[in-house]
Amino acid sequence: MLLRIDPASAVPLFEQLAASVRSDASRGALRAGDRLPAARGVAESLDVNVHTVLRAYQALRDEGLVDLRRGRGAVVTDLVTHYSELGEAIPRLVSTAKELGLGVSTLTAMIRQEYGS
Amino acid sequence: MTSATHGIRVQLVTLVIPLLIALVALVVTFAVASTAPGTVIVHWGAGGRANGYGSPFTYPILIAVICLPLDAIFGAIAILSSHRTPLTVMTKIIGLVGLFITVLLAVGLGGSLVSQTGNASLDPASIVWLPIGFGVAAVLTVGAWFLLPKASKVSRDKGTPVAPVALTIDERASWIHSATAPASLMWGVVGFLVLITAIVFFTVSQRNGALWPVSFIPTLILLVVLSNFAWTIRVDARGVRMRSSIGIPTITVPLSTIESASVIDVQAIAQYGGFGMRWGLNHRFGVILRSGEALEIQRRGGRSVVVTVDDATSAAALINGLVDRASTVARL
Repeated sequence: MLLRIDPASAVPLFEQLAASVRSDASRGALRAGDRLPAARGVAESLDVNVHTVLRAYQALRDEGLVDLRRGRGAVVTDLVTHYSELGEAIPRLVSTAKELGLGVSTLTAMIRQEYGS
Repeated sequence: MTSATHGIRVQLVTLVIPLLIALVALVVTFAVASTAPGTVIVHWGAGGRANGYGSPFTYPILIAVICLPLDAIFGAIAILSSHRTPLTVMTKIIGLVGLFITVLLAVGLGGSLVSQTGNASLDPASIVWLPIGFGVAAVLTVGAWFLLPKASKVSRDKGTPVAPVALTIDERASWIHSATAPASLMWGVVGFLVLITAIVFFTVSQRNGALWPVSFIPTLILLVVLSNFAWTIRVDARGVRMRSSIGIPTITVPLSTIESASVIDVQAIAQYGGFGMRWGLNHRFGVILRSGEALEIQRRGGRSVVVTVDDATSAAALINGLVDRASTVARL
């Protein structure tokens, strides 16, 4: 699992961590039943507080991507297949937008509109 | 020569012939044991003095319990591996283990039993058959080496270069992945442990428990298995850390010693002769748990470390990104 955080960013660290796991899920690097690395190891490796990692794992549990079980750690759920579908759809979406000459702000505006409707 | 005759030669030399020798030895020792006196020498101490007596059927049982499974296992490994990859020195050595042990025991144990029952008094000098068995086994194994097809060289493939991840100065990144042996290998290991445990308990019971420290062997093997077949691989700004499931050993490769990383294709048996921590034919140290995709870390000075792990491309990209960033920072 590839985790990237930027302490200089305005986005809270735990959200950046959760986003990293999500992007791993969408690029197909995680499968249902996989175990996320132990929070302590991640904290040590990224030099962040262990509670920051746990908070990220809890956020992922709240959206259903992982199950948190005592003694088993964070286990990826079946929902991950939908994340990889999303991961396949996004590059298609972006390349279509590029063909039409639409910039990132126009595309995000369109996505935002779709959410609103 | 066609590959079909290669295949037949590998099958004959590594599986069929050793099994036949084992079966003949089994039948002969069983027949001799049926007519032998109730007790024969089954153990020798220092200086070739007999110090253990037991049933003559100990001999056929030992041959059956040791030779048949070993022949089947090592023969199957060599044959399956030679289907997928060209025969290497490693494959040939593995394929000949069964033959060597079988001839050693067939001649050593068989000769010993026959010579003991030949004369009225049990002759401790029958121990001489074990070194004779060793010699015959060595000669036959060397002969069999040349009967097997010529070993092909293992090329030192360069691997697929991986583009680095672009990292900003402040960014922190970590790639963590478990590397575990596949279930099939683990079942093989469990089978091997059961076999060793059976042999150990048979040996200990034959000596009325006098050899009890031998019972630690299965425990020792279990520890070696635990420390070899489940790892956690971690890549971060410090470098690469490979930690086994029980923490010992932990292999660390500091970032400052890394030149670059790439993805290579590993053939476990043909290149490394098996699984676990290994020195490969291509002068690479590896944590080898399966064949296929692997991360190769090139160290400064030409050495490299290999680990078979999924998603190796991400790991290599991160290592290359971290190395690039460190060298950029150093230049500033």
